[in-house]
Amino acid sequence: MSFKVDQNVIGHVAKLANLSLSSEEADALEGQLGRIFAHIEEITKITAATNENVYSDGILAAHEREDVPSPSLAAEIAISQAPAKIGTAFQVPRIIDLEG
Amino acid sequence: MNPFDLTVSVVASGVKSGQFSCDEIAETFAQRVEKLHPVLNTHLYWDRSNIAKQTSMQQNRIAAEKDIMPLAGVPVVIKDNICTAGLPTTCASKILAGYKPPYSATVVDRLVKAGAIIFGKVNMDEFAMGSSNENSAFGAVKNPWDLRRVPGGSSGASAASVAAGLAPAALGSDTGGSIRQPASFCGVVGLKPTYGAVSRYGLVAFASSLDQIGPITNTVRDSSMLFDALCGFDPLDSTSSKTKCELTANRLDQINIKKIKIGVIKELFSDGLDPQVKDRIDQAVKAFENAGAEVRWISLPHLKYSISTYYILATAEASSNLARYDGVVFGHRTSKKTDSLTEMYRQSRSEGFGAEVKRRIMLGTFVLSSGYYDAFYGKAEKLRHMISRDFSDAFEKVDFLLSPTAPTTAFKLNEKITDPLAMYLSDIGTIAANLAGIPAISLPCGFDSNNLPIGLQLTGPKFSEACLLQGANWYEQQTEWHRKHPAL
Repeated sequence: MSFKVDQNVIGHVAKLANLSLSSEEADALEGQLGRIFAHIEEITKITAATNENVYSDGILAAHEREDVPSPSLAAEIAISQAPAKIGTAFQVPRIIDLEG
Repeated sequence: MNPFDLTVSVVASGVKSGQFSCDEIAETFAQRVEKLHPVLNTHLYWDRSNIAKQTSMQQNRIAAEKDIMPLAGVPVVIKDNICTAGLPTTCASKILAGYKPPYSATVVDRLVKAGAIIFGKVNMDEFAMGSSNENSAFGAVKNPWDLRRVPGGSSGASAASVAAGLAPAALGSDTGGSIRQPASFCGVVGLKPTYGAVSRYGLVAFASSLDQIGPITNTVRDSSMLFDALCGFDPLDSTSSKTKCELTANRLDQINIKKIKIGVIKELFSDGLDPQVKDRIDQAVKAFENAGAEVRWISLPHLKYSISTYYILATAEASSNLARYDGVVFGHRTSKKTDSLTEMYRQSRSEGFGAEVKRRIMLGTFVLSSGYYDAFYGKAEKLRHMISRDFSDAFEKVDFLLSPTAPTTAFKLNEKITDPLAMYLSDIGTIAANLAGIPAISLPCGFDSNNLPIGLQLTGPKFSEACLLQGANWYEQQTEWHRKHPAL
């Protein structure tokens, strides 16, 4: 696989990442990420890794605990750092069209 | 009192015996902070009244509880990605400016229980992403050995604080070398513990499978005292290991160097290694050999892929971990009018994150995206496994591995900031230990012709901190490097 980092890629990835880039940032990132990918792309060509079993030694096994209820953060504390709030709710721009 | 004489070990025993009070110790170091912070830009949060409350509380505990206060009165600066209840925790980012967590990290609670004084929150590369402490929203930190140079990163201010005598100890975090590399650049001791040995509860996540908290100190004994206070299972951290934490400080001198086998990592002695760094490492190897240790070359054949592997896995995890910073629950929210919730997220994040953080989020998002996940992230996971196996194979032949912590000494401010790839490539000495989840320590082994410190790294198998610290302590005791301090 070999691909080029261009403004289409930058725009697509920025949208996925919920970032709004200025044109200067997008231009800079095209060059920087292009050089970075030219380096890290090497691993896509390593066939010896293809059949490596990453689950064989239990490193990625899930850790479990007893399902015991315990106190959680009080609502007034959880909301205390919110940029905008109404009562114990986080206030955000409207997401539902009431006339829809 | 000379702050460099007040090591963790000296302070703790002196406070418990009554030789000095918590207040006297705090005052000595506080004067140093107030004198040197304007020069070094170490501290993001500093409050004398908060420290006075702590010294009073700890002093009152000593009569009844000194036996459970191994760090009585010891000032410890805390990297600003470690939560401290009610005190600002910004990760050196605009997106968390003013944020005060409602809880403290487990490591902070354990330090306080052990008698330590939380001595301010210190600067870092934003969200622990960087190797120079130039990526902070609150300005770069300077290296105490040469104010024109970087202290390393991302725990740059943690290392600079200890090197400059602002505190005898600091907590840093290490995801790809962020404790060890600044320790190397600042001439102090930095330990990255085994993954899972020290709780990550309350550490703001960068890459959850790689992050570890560890101590930065002036001596190996101090490092072992901090490690002993921090390590151990924490039910609040789902990745915390239940492997019993072997205490290290009470057996630091119990090493027979003639029975030790050391492997020198062949791949880290390549063209990019500064000749003066190589020379000092060669001298360190001779010191072990002359004392009777068995020393041999060890090859880690997949080490050459560690930078690529790391910058795929770490940025992928970071893109997920940093998705929570969207201006809703905490942190910065844009004041611009936005037409939708999504637009609010994008604007808030774009205003709040710095360039390096955005770059890594973009990289991580890409390698997880449809059509590229298997080729990049899937392959990197497998390579990580192979790199880990290289270490396991090595540890069947040797007790620990020896290498330079970094290929160079501290570089100049602004030298690499415009070339992210060059910055990433300088992490070659440290990254693999994070990928394998194994412990590694950097300690001073000399200076270059510019009087800049050089770091020696010892790396061991999982949960071998006791042996690693014994080896490091042995080397430290053969030299005077830990007694040299910058002339500030």
